[in-house]
Formats: sequence, structure tokens, C-alpha cells
Amino acid sequence: MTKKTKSLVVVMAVTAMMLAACSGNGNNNGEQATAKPEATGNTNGNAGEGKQEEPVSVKVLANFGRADLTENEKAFFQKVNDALNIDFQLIIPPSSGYAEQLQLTLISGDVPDVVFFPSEQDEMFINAVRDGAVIPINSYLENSENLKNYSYEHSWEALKTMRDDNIYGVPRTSITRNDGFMVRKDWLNNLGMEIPADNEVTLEQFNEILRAFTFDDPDRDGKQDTYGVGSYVDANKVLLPVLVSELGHYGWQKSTDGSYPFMLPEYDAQSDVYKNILLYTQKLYAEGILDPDSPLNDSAAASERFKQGVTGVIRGFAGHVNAQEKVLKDIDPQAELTYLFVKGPEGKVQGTGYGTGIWGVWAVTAESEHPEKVVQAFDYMLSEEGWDYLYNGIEGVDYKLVNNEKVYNPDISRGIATSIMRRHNAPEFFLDPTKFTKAELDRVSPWVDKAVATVVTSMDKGYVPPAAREPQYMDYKLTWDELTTKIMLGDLPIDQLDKARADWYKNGGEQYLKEMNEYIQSLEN
Amino acid sequence: MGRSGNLPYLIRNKWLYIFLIPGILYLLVFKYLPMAGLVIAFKDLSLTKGIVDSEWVGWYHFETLFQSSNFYRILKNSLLLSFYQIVWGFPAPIILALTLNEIRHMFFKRITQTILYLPHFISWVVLAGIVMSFLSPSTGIVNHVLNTMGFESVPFLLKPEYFRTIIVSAEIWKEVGWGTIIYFAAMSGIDPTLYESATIDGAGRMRKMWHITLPGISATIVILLLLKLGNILENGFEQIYLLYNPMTYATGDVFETYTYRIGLQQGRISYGTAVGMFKALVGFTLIIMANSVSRKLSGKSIW
Amino acid sequence: MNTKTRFSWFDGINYLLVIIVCAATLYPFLNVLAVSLSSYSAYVENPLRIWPKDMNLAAYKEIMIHPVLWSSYRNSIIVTACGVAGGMLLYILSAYPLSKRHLKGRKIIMVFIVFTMLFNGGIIPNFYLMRSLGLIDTLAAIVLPMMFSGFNLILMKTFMENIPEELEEAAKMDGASEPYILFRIIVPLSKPIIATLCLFTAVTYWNNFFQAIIYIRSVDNWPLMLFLKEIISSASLAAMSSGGNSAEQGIMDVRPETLQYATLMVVMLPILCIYPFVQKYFVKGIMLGSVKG
Repeated sequence: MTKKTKSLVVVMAVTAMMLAACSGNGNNNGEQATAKPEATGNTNGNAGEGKQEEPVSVKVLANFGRADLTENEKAFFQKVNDALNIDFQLIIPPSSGYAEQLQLTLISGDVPDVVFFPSEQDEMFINAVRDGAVIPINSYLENSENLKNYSYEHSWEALKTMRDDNIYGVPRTSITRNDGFMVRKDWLNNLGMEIPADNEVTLEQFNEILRAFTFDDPDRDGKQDTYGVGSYVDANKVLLPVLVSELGHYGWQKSTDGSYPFMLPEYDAQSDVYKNILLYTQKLYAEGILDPDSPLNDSAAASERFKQGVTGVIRGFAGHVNAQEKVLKDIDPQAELTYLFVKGPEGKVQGTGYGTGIWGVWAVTAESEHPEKVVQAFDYMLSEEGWDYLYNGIEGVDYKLVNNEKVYNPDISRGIATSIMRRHNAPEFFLDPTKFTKAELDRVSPWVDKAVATVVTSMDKGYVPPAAREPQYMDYKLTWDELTTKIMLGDLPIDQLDKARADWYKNGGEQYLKEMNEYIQSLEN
Repeated sequence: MGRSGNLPYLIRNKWLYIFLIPGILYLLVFKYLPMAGLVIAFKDLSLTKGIVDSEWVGWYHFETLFQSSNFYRILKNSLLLSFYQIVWGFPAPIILALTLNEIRHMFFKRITQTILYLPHFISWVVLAGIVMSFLSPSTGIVNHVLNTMGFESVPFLLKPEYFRTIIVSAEIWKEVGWGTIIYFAAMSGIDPTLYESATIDGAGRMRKMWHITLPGISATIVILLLLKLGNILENGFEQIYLLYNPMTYATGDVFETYTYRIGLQQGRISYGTAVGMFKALVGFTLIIMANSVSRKLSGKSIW
Repeated sequence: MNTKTRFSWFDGINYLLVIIVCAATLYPFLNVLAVSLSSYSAYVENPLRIWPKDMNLAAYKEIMIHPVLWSSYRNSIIVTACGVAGGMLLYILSAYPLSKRHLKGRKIIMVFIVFTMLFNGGIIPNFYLMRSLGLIDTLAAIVLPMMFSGFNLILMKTFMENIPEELEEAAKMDGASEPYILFRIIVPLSKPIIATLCLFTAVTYWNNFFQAIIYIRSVDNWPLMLFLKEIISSASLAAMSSGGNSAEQGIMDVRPETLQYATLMVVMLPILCIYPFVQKYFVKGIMLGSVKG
């Protein structure tokens, strides 16, 4: 027994040692220091203290694509640090697990100064506000001219989470755009077609183009293997209709009559707009003009189809045109791209576009010892000086001045710095100066500008009423998605829409309308 | 048979119980301790307040689940899909293992075994992409073949009646090779003298397979089947999520996809925990029942 | 097995079936390999290719330049080795007693074990546990949660149940103790199942990244799979996960498949190299000669 017991003990000891070795790796490498000691509660008192010896630490939990900053980005944040005597530190967990990290950070009690929430409508954010983990920043905003000047008004409204006057975070602004369509110019040429110089076409012209692209062999290969237009599904796997705003959909607007002052075309029995939207896509699908793979593709897959030359028109951001064209040319050297907008029923190009103007919230936590410094930091990034560093880069680090022109080092990467804050009125931001030649910029800037200029704001400003979180409502939303998709794909006739609407009302829709109208009304006042 | 007294038995077999201590300790610490967190299912978890201070809501989340208008559909879909997965997916590796076992060319056997395992390592994102390409209504190879035979293209991934078949077939494609490993291990444990006696008795290869190999691995088969029942309401989230869409919700929407869409991502942790508990409870009950049935019918069981 | 038999129709069917299945399972691998060696436009042109076009190693280079690749590789190897070693010990020790039908309390213990296979507290309680054990941001936090699973335990127990009892009884009559029987008799006879579980456990560890997301804080402790996933997301600028509208991407809407596939290859290759070593344990006749008379 002794011999075998001994060998047993040896094996166990070895295993124990190996496990110890495994854990030994961890404790010495804590690059990300844990949050500082508990807040002492005198956060407001520091505002008037003036210059401090030690830079104030501002730790920010954020979600970016990579965990470490490049040298260029570090230089940018150094500028921020120098200007405000702070130590701005980003804590970036692996992005594939940001949601989990967010949960664990909040519940662990080890909360940094700032926590990034992907949306102000997030359940987690709302709960955090409700439970006092996130504090209002109204008092700190008073001195933040830049934040006020360069953010959308309605962003502040959206951050009044408790429906009182308290604003619960700094919005990360994103510029809404009413994107148009990328079009195969070489196909237009092959077919002898042209689009007007201002890149705006009527609905009839658009249909003509789509038809020709599908049936008239635009790529001149003798086969009918092309589709006029490709669409794709959103994050909920719902097929996006080919034309939305172009058919008169501008989000929540004053309703013409009916029991509610403000309405969304989807739910408005008096309006034909949504019906037309579904019918239009249904028609294109039935006639084989809409790529039949559309209900199965996400936007990346749809983009691939476009690059393969299967579709000829696809909705997209004008700034991507150059890069798309490059890939296209690799596959088909004849390929050329242009861009167009479709005029709406009033003869104008206008639309609600993507997004609500907020692309996430920088929420200041109750644990923060110096919330005023936090807000100052974000304010600085939008100031003349800060914005210049952020958008243009730093002279000598990101670019060299040659004959008063900025010459950029093509290998630099500034994704984190440039994603941290935005000015709402600087659409040129989309065109990263380090990535485009002047010729390329000149080509697409007018399109980008038009996309920004033609935005019509939906009156809901992205608000999600509490009724939308009721289980019954959410359940019905799934059925709604099924029904509308089936209508678009021809599986159900269009009159099913009326029934869907009626059911929606019964399943919490009425309450939803009521709350949404109350909200919009309060904004109007 | 030992004496009836417990204490003498324990003392006589003390080593057996000592051996069990590390494993049981591990399970207690790493599985049972965190299980206390299941209480989240009965609370409205607030991350700021923590588990202990969050509000108690009792059966609320379970009621929400049962009262959902989609509940019966997702229950039905989960069960049916699991049923298909068992009927088709379970025997596939067994048949393949038996087939491979009969291959006598060693080099061929080695190579093919390695090849068969490859899809197990390839993520669903890639495989689902391939499936979608093959089944594309416009450019997919399956429809291409159909067209040349004179048939119309069929948008397979948009039709609920094909969904289960697609899911089960794709899963077999991915996992059949890897699934043979455990059966090979079981086959190694069969006494070779049995085969020799059978040869002497003049038995052919099929008879040997039927009367020796199969019974030899039957314990493994039964156990694996029983364990599969424990996961009956799990269907493989990633694969289904990648391949389904509103057109196929009718057959494809299962527990995991439903809870994902209802907003697990946004932090409805309590609800997610409640649904998980429900699934586990159903699976556990099923295992207990099936285990008794199996013990009576075949003599083989988990306990 | 050694008689010169003719190739029967039975053989024919077997070989045919295996070849067909092999072709189907080989295809995705060839596709992944080819795309990882192609240019992005070549991928877009034909995503289903099995032959590389515009052959280049750009995707691999992009992975290799990261110093984190090597540290994460090292971490994964350590984690896998520790996890397999620790796990095997636990499995062997636990499966043996449970394989004895006469063990009192066997039923309760089995129920106890199966219960853990189904019920799970979720990431928050597990996080609390690791934190109170002081294991946050250590490799042990990745090793421990997956080291011992009821499923594998049951597989080993089932295998051990098949080992003839006469062997043990003979040894007992010679005065052998239980530890001796376990390690000198049972374990050698259980090589097939031990090899199998080593493989299963190793693959589980190697492919895992979820534990790392929850417990690891410093990049130094990232395992391989997590690193590779992050490469992909940093290449697409994380627009999706940040919840912003997709138009916020500074680069175009590129899903870098070439990079994605290259990361797959980097992960797969080590495991594929291990398999041949494991294969030799699946040899029939391991019981041969062990039961005498």
C-alpha cells in the first residue's frame, strides 16, 4: 500500500503544482488596475479647487475593436491629459464580450468613472440610472459649451431617462444621413442610360434603371444573371424594404387625422405610405428585380453580391464608393460606380436616415470622484483645439506640413481616437483624411453632404416608450415581423396588413401610441 | 454481496469513497455553489443592487414565459427539432463508426478518420455560410441542378417545411465524424476473443457486427442517448440563429433564439435565468424517467 | 484480419460510404484553407473556392505580427495541459468507484452529478465565486470551470463498467489494495477512454474563449481563441458590437473572411497534429491476454 499511496501523492502533488503554476501567471500582470478606492462623497466640492498636484485619474470602460492604443492614439490622449491635468485611461475589454463585461463591472462594485453603454435605450442603462449607479451631469454641462454646441438637441432629450430634467450621460454623437444608392455606372453606360448631374432621379427613372439592370443584360455577358437591386436584413433578421423614405415615410410626424396627433406610417390605418412600401418591395421581388437572396443576406453579404456583379444597385454610404470600386475592379476591370438619390412623392430628396444622432452613452458613475473632470474631458475633445487633434491629427505625429498641406503617414491607425466623440455638424468626419486622396474626396464629398443635408428628423427622436418593453408587446412584434416579411415576399396578400395592425393595437399597441404621443407632445411644448 | 450493515461496508471500501472526495468537492465548489445564483430567476435583478438586494418577484418570469403567445410554438419547435436530431443525428455516427471499423486498410482508415473530424473544428459561421451559398435561390448549386433537370428554383431557407431538414443535415455534416470517436473507444473495449470464436463458428462480417460489435457498444449508445434527453430543449443556438429568418420562425424558432430576441443581450438577466431553469428542469425530469425505463428494458442506465 | 480475403460487396459499400462522407467533410476545410491564402477580391469572386487565387500570406502575416499571438498561444498550451492533467486525475479517481454496481449511495451520487450537468447559475454567480477565490485574471480561472464535467465522467464510468470483474478479484486475492488495482490494472485497460477524454477535454479548452471574456482582465492572459476573435473584430472596427449604426465604420463594410479563415487555420492545426498520437489508443484487443483462463 505504501508504494501506491506514494505514487498517488506524487501525482496529486504534481497536479497541484501545475495548477499553482497556472495561477501564478495572473497576479503579476495586472495591466488594468482595478478601480480606485471608494468615492468619498465630496465629488462636487472639488470643482473649485484649482490646479492640483496630481493629475486626476479618469477611467473609462469602453468598447472598441481592439484593446491597445497605437502610438498615435496615445499622443492624442496625452494632449487631453495635458490640457486638463488628468490621466484619461481607457479600459477596453474584448469586444466579443463587452455586454458580459458591462454586466460584471456593474455588479462587481468595482466601477470606473465612466461606463459606455451601447444605447440609451438599453435595459441595463435604464436600470443603472434608476438604481442610482449613474449620476446626472446637468451641473457640469453648464460650462461645457462645446458639448452643447456640437451635439443634437434631441440627444439631450433622449438622455433624460427618468423623464425629468436630469441628463444622465454624455452622448456620443453620430451624424444621421439619408443615404442613397450605389449604382454600376458601367452598366448604365452599356445600356445607354444616364442619370442627372445632380444625382437625383424620380421614382419612374429608378424603376427604369432597375428593370434594365435585370432584364437587359447590363453586363453584356449574354446571360440573364443580374438583379436590379439587392436588399438585406437588419439585426433582427427583418428584411429592409427597398424604398422607405422615398415613398413618403418620414418616421413619426403629425398625423392628418385620426385619434392620435402623431403617427408612424406602420400603424396608421389612414395612411397608405406603409402599404405602398410593402407593395413596392413585393412587386420587385415577384418580378425578379429584387435579388431573391435579399431576405437571407445581412448587409455584408449583400455588399458581396454587389461586388460580385450579381446586383447593380445597393443602398450604402457614399464614402464607401471608392473602396467598393477598387474591389469591383479587381474582379471586373470594367466596373465603375456612381451614386444616386431617389426623389420622394413631393419631388424632393429627403429621408429619416440611419440612427437617432446618438451612438452610445458615456455614463458618469456615482463612484466617480471627479465627475466634473470627466465632462470636461469630453468637452475638450469637441473644442477647437481638441477637435483639431482628434479629426486632423497632431502635427509631427500623424502628419507633416509640406507647403502648408497636410501629408499623412499612410500606416497610422487612429480608430479609437476618432470613434470616441463626434461633432454633429462635421460630416466630413466620415471621410478620414488619412485614407483618401484629394481626388477621391472631391468625388464623394458632395454625395455625403447631400446625404446629411436631406435628413428629415423623425419626431420620436429615438424614444422607446415603456410599453414597448411589455412582454406581450414584444411577443407581438415578432409576429409583426413575420407578417410583414411574408407580405413582402408574396406569401401573404397585402390586406393582411390591416389585420396585423388591428392585432398590434390589441397587443399593447394602443398603450404604445399613447405613451409615444405624450412624449412627442412634451417635446413640442 | 457484502454485509447489510453500512458502516462495515464503508470501512471495507474506504478507498472507493476516498477516491470520490476530490470529484465531489470539485462539483460542490464549482457547480453547486454558483447554483445559489439561480435565485436570480425569482428576482428582478438590478446590477447595481446586487443579487441579495434585488427585488423578489417570485414566479413572475416563469409566468411571463408561459403566457407568451409564442410559448407553445417554441416548445413544439424545440421538441420536434430535438426529436429529428435524435432520430437522424444520433445513429449517424454509430453507423459511420461501424462502417469504418470494417475498413481493414490501415492507412486509408487513419487518413479518413482525420478528415472526418475536420468540420467539428470549423465554426458555424463558416459552415452556415457554405450552406447558405449552396441553397441560394439564385446562385446556389442545389437550385442549379434542379433547374437543369427542369424544375423551378426553390428558396429552401425561406420555407419552414425544409428548415428542420436543413438544420439536422448540416449538423450531421459537422459532427458525424467527431461523434465516432467515443464509439471507437468503446469498440476497443470489446474482447477480441469473441471475434475469434465467431470466426471459428463461421460467422460472416455482418453477423459479427450485429452480434458482437453492436452489443459491445450498446452500453455507450444507451448512455449517450439518455444524456441527450437531458438537453432536449437545447438545439444549438449559433447554427439556428445563422440559418433562420422570419419566414422560418414557424418551425425554426426555439427557446434559445426566442430568448435571444426578447432581449437577453440588453440585460434581461433574470428572465434568461428563469428560462434556463425551465429548460434544465424539463431535461432533468426526462432523464430520470428515461433512465428508469431504460434500466427496466435494457438493463443499462446511468444509475 | 490477416487472411487474404477478397474484396466483397460488403467492403465495396463500406469504402464507398466512407469516401462520400469524407469528400463532404473535407470540402469545408479545403475552402477555409484556400480562402485564407487568397486575396479578398478572389474570395468575393468565388467564396466557395477550394483553390487559392492571388495566393498570398497577407492574412497570416496580419496575425503573426502581433506579439499577443505568442503569449496567447503559450497561455492556451498551459491551460490545456493543466486542464487535461487535472481533469484526467479527477475522472479516473471518480469513475472507478462509480463503476462498481455494489457501491452504496451510487444512485444518489449519480443524480448529484447529472444535476450539475443541467443546472447552471449563470455568469454572475460564477464570477462571484472566482472573485472570492481570488482567481480573477489568472489562468486558473480558465482551467478550473471546465476541468471536470459530468458528461465525461459518465463516459469513463460506462467504459470501466465493461472491464471484467475477474481481473479485480484475482488481484484482490493476491492482496492488492484499491489504489493498486486502480492505477496498475484499471487505468492501463482504460487507455482508449482516457485517450478519448484527453482529446475531448483538450479540444474544449483549446477552442474556448468565453471563460476568458468573463474572468480575464489583462491582455497577457488571453488564450489563443480570444486573441483570434479580437483580431477579427478589430479588423472590422467593432461597429456592430458597439451598437452604433453600421454607417459609423470608418472602413468599408468588409467582413474580412480571409482573415477570419486564417485564424481558423491557426487554431485548428495544433489539434490536428495531436490527433494521430491519440489514434493509436483506439486499437482493438486491449483486453487481449488480460483475462486468463
